[in-house]
Amino acid sequence: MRNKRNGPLSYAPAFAALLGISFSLLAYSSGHSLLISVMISVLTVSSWIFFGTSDPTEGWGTEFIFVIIVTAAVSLSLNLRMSCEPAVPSTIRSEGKVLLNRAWGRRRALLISTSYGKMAAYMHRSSAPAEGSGVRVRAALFDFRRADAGGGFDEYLFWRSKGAVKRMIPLELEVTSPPAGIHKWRNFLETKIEDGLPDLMSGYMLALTLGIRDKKLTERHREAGTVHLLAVSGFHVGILAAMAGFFLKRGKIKILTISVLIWSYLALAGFPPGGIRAGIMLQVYLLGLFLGKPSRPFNSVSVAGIIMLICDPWTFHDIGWRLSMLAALSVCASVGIARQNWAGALLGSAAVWFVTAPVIASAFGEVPVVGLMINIAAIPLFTVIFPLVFFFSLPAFFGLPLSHEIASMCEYLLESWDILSGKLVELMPLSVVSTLPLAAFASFIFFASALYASGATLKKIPLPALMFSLLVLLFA
Amino acid sequence: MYGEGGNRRNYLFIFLGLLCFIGATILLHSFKGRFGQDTAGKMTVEMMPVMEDTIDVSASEQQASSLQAVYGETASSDAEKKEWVIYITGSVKKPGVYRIPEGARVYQALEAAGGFTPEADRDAVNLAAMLQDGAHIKFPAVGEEVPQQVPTAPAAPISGTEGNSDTQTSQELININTAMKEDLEKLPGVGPKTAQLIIDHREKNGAYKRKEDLLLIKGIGPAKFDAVKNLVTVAQ
Repeated sequence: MRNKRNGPLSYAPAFAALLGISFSLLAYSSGHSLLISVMISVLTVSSWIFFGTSDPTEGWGTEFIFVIIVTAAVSLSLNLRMSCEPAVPSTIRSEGKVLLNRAWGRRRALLISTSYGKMAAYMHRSSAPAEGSGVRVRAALFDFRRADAGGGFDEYLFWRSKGAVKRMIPLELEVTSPPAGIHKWRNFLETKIEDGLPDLMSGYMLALTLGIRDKKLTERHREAGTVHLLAVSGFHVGILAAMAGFFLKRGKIKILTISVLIWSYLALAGFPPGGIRAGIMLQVYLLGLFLGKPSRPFNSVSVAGIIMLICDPWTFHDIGWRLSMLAALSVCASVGIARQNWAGALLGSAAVWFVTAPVIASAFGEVPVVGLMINIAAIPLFTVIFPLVFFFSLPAFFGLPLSHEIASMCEYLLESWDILSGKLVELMPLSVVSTLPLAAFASFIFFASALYASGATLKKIPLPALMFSLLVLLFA
Repeated sequence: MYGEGGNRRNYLFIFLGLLCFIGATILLHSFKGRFGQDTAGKMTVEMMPVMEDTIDVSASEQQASSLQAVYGETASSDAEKKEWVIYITGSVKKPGVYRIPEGARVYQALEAAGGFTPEADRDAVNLAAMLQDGAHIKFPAVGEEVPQQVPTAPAAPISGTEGNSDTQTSQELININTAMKEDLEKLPGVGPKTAQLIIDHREKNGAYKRKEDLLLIKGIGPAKFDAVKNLVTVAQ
């Protein structure tokens, strides 16, 4: 099948649909009408399929119509859901639950479920209830702030992508019940990790297991361009699945056990977008194995992306979701290239950096160039480091003898990496900012690799990759 | 690589691909002027959730469903005509909760409630006073103790939301949409800096629509808001 590169419908129909849906969501959120947005989705997906197809197989027409209908229907449905703004009172009294409590500058940002939907609140650290607490609240509701015309942080899109419908300022807030369920476990583990492990180990364990990022550690990784290692994503889910796969025997029980393990882990980590995407992708892949029909990773990632959008269309505006999708699609596309040429493995790592750089730069201001080099070593290295951190922290966690010495050994290892990456940052202190040429180049690389992964022949890649890059820049 | 038919088909596909792409680009280009509106905050009003009045959702199920019904009705009609909800009690023919046009005065509320009963004290309430959304107006009977009316404040009916008592109107209300800096400084906990911030906010964002908007001012937290909320009005 690989030798017969006959186009997107045979290789990655889900990516074609995801592309159309994404263009439709972009168009709608940019102020186009619902009808126009759906038409744009149909035209872009058709164009992608036509450009990529070389030698259509029997039944191609039926598949084409099916993909078009699915794309149009999903685009219409998602845009309609996004257009329906919930009506809420200006002040509320309600019982609820704290779903999220995260650092927000000097304060804490909270996501609280109420009878009127989820609300975001900013509170002082000392008065913010713990995650999972039951609360009774009387609060005034306010609109989220939008980004300035020149761009910048858009509070509205940020919180809507987290499920919040309004910002609330609590006038009275009473904790009615302590954290329960998974939240209780998260709080327990957070305290245990912070109290029982040295600084770096604690930071990595918090990120690895609970999805909580230590401020100093995050800053160090941001300088080195490896901050993605701290976000629970396909990398972490992949390590866990590989470890489970190594210890378990073959069979359907193995598939089931891995599935349960992965979703339990994601629940503990607070269901981060990158993790959910990886979980769904892995589930699609495992389902294929279960049915004896393994799917292509590139297509599985696309299916995962569509499922997440169907669950919550606002996910589209979550920068974590966008980065996760771009990186995962680029990695999966480069896997195909690497099989034919080992230099492709290095190219893949570079491709991920280039593809995500404009998005990171536009969100955080700049991207360190050194990340391009460090990631080539960091990704395989942390495949080993993360399991080591996990296993070396267990003795301290259970209060076993020599736990301090074992943890110190691991801390030295992490410090060594910290020093090494710090030196590399000093050697190459350059950063790139969001510019049109960078965005154009990144788009071209992304679409070229996506076309390759979608089964387009090499000579059919440059023109559509260039054209779709220009189309993306139209939105920029 | 392909036969003659295969080549022709591939050219056709490229042509169709180009056609669809050009179509998509034209659609995008035709609306290019609208790009960026959502992030520029220009469409905020249309995109933001509809705001309504205070509803206590911790009420009983029956109460909650009835409140939801009122709320739903308001939400649907909100786009056509803005209304206030007021509560009228005392010596009127039909006491109850009424919807009246935004910007109405007390006499309109009285008309909605069917007018005075014979025992009503017709001079006790200033019928020309402006109302505000969520107000509670009590028309006392002759001989009944009357909460003092404020002669100068534009929105000083015997009104209040969130549990305001009628006696709170015995003090002059400060209109945060029109008040001078010196007037704002009379409020408890409001110094020259906060007073200036209150003025700056209304000059930058337009008039305050509700008292709770004061919470957006740096330096006014829930405690300070509770202290001033019954001393201010937002009547325009």
